[in-house]
Amino acid sequence: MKILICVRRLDKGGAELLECRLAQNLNEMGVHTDLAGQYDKNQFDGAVCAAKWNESGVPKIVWLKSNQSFGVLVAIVRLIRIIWNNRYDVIISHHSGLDIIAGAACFLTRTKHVAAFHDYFYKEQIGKFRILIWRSILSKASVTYCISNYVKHNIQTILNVNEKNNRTIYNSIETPVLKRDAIKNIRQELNLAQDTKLILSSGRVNFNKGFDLSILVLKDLLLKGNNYLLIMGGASNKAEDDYLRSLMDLVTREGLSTHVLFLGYRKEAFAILQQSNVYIHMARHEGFGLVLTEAIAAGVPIVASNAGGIPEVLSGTSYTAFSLMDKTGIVNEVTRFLALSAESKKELTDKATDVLPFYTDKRRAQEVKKMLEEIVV
Amino acid sequence: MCGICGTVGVYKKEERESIVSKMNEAIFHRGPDESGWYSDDVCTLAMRRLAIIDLDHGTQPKYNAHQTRLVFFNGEIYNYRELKALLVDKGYFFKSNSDTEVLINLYEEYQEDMLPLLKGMFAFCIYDKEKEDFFFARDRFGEKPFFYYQKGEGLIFSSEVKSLLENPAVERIISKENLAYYLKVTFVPEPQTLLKGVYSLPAGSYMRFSKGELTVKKYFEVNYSINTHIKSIEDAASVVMPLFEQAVKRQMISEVPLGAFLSGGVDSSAIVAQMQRLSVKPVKTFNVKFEESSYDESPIAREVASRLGTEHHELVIPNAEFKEDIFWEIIDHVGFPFPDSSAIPTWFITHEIRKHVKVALSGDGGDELFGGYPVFDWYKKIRSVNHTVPRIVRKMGESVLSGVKGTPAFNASSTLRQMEKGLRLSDVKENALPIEIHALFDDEQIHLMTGLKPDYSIMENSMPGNSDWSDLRKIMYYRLQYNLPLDMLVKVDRMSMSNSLEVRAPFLDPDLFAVSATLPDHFLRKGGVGKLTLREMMKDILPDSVFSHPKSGFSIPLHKYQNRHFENLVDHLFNETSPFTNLIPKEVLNYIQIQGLQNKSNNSTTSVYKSSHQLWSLLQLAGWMKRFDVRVD
Repeated sequence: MKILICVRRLDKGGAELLECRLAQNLNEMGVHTDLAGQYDKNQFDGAVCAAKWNESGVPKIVWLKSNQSFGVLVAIVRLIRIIWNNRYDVIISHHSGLDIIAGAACFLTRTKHVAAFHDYFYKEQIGKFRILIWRSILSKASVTYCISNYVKHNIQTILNVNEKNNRTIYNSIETPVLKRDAIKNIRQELNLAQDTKLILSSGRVNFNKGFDLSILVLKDLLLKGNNYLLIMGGASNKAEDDYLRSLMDLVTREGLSTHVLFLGYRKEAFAILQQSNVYIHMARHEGFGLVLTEAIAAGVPIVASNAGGIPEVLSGTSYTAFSLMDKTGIVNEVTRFLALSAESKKELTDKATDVLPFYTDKRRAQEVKKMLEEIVV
Repeated sequence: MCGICGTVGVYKKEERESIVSKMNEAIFHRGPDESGWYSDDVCTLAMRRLAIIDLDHGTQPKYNAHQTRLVFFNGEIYNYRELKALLVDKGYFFKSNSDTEVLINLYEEYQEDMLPLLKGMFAFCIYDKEKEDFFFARDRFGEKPFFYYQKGEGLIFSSEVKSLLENPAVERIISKENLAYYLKVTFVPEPQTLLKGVYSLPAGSYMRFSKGELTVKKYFEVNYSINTHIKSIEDAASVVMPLFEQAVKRQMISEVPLGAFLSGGVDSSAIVAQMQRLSVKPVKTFNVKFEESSYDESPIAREVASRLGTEHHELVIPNAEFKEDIFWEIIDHVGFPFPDSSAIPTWFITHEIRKHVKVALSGDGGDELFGGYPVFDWYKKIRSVNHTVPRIVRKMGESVLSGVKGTPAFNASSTLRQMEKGLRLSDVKENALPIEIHALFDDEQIHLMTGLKPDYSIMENSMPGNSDWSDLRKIMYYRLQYNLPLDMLVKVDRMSMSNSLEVRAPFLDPDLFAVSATLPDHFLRKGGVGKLTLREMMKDILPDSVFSHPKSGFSIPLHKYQNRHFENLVDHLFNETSPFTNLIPKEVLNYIQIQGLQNKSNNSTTSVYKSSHQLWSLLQLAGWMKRFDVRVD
């Protein structure tokens, strides 16, 4: 069985790296799996990343070059040639543009096509014409799989994907993360008092992640005490800049400047998670909530919204997924967690780690392998 | 919550003090708990206090540390504790726990820049004794009133017109120009009033008065700027809910018993739900049940109260029957003619609630912020006809419908009447359309009554015109700018204060307003249903019945309200020799009287609602001119 996984880029991005690691894990399990980058090797450090993935055990990296003129057509033709030359049994794609490229190439070469869904989306996000094409391409796919039941339901509703061929294969975190030690002392770096309670919110800094709501939760917490610091970690791109600015305005307007810290993107995110007293995740929309599995791994109590796939992630733990309409409940839960004795906190966070084996790369690769074997047979 | 008044200059000290004392007596009902007083060679200032916060130490005026400035204040500052903490950090010292003391110190630190920091309802006066100058300000939406009259180098001001008119220096001459506004839309745009020389400080403005020189400036302007991140109704709810909760929490601050109106509608139910969530004890809720069944929403209110676990009170008001004393009561407290018939039930309900609590939260402002009024759809439809149907086709349609006007079929069909009105209005220029939609009398009638060519340029020029706001936002702006401060809030303030009850409106919290102004149209109204975001926020908290029953106003059907006493009063006021009967031509009065009293069903020219309200508005005008001895120039 020979597989090609098509990704947009190989350097970063949650969904992209997840699929790259899937390729690595499938190869470790004896399934020949190559990677295809949507653009050419000069984009997004392609050549450097390709070398890295080669070293990790991915035999071959190819480029679809859809960034050239007539990009989609060029990419379809290139993918057809790649399929013919390498005799792939299955092509996996994970994004609307790649679904269309892979779907068309698979249809013309009679190769099995698997579409992976890593996120929810709105009808309004995508033009009607694109939805029509996407629907038609997906109707020919052998199987589709999604990172949560929420996303599964979402694409069934919007893209009319056949329920029978649509599966849930949960997201996973990189196994080594679970073992990583705190390599940086954030309290020392920020020169914080011993009794300062660190509340962490992290993720892409955009509206969907609800950082504004975290700030308002903090505001209520400050009515109960003064020793709280909300750290907001995560990257934002240019398009998200206005949201970041609005957060800064909100902090100033509410007089919270000494209680909120915008940390930006930090490599040692896991270490910061480990040193936080509570992790709050007020997402409005969330396909899965990978960061929550990381927080579970880091042993930090979680207070999260019930958006999208979050209740699925938290199921099996003692954490509650709150409606965003229940700010009082959220504030009370944060207060309760901050007041826990060390023993009770350990009991709570240890229990949560029971769910972690379910979210490992290995488990995910096994499920994908099983699925591929079914469709290739 | 209080009332303030004063006179700067105009008279010698002794005479001025005697007059201001009378002015203060006229607003006794606004603050029966105690009075405040200051007088020197420059001015005499006074107030009546309804003690709500810091009952023992809230006496006014409050001074700055050097005793050089003092404040008289009407209203509540809900975030005064946060502001006090801010000032303490800056080294200010406080003797009391009252919001009034925060105000004077905030002014010391920020002067007029203090105004955007205030979250509350207010009208206040700060006097700088050394510089002999005065600073006055009014809240963003006009919840608390402030009237003034400039006399030479002097100034006279008060929370109520009745009190202002206690000062003999204030002339009582009707403004014919402004009468046109009253007849057209039932109110006069601020700063103008129906009295020549009497002004209302516009909502969201401040005023400085120094040595006879007066300047007025705006510190708050309504702006709608859509948040493009909001893609779903859940997003909209998630953005609004925390600020809604914060607004209710802020306004629950009180040292005296507090309750809430509970009509059974979405707005008041949402407020009560939040209050109950934030309260350990059952919240006291009040519903008015009118004996006339078409008004009865009490079963829904009861269901809400039972779901939320409130201490519910049902107040029964006997069959609405006209009584002259209520008619005069309204005029007396509003200080101007007030044709909104919902003032009558509002007076009853505030009267009853005051027997139980001193402060009550209400759902006022919810419709303005979240798109509750059906008239918003009507405006959009007319604009859409204007955009999409060629003028010639519209004119043809209008001619056809005019041709059948007066036929029994036309009279019986509200759809045909609406179509005819819609086609006619589709030709009206954009800035004038909201005025025409809300018009009580047409321009021809107004011309007959005032002898002037009606001119509504103050209102037309203030409309956003071809801005990038949507049609929905434009008509919402109109309601927020005019109907809210000049009708709704006047009614709530004057009727509640006449009963010494403080009514608070959490929907008018500035942070909540700011977030509501970012909502895309389709999360406000869709398919004839309004307040979609509010509904989404409350869908799991309130019973379904709250959302399924149609919106019903608080107005009463005046044609059913008329009785022998009413007819006698009309007869008397329309026929006696008076400035009013000299002002309005006899034949017009006869026509309005006949239409208003005898028209019991809709016809081609006017609906029962309109003819009875036209009569009521002229009756109010006549009563007001008589009560306050208003003359015609």
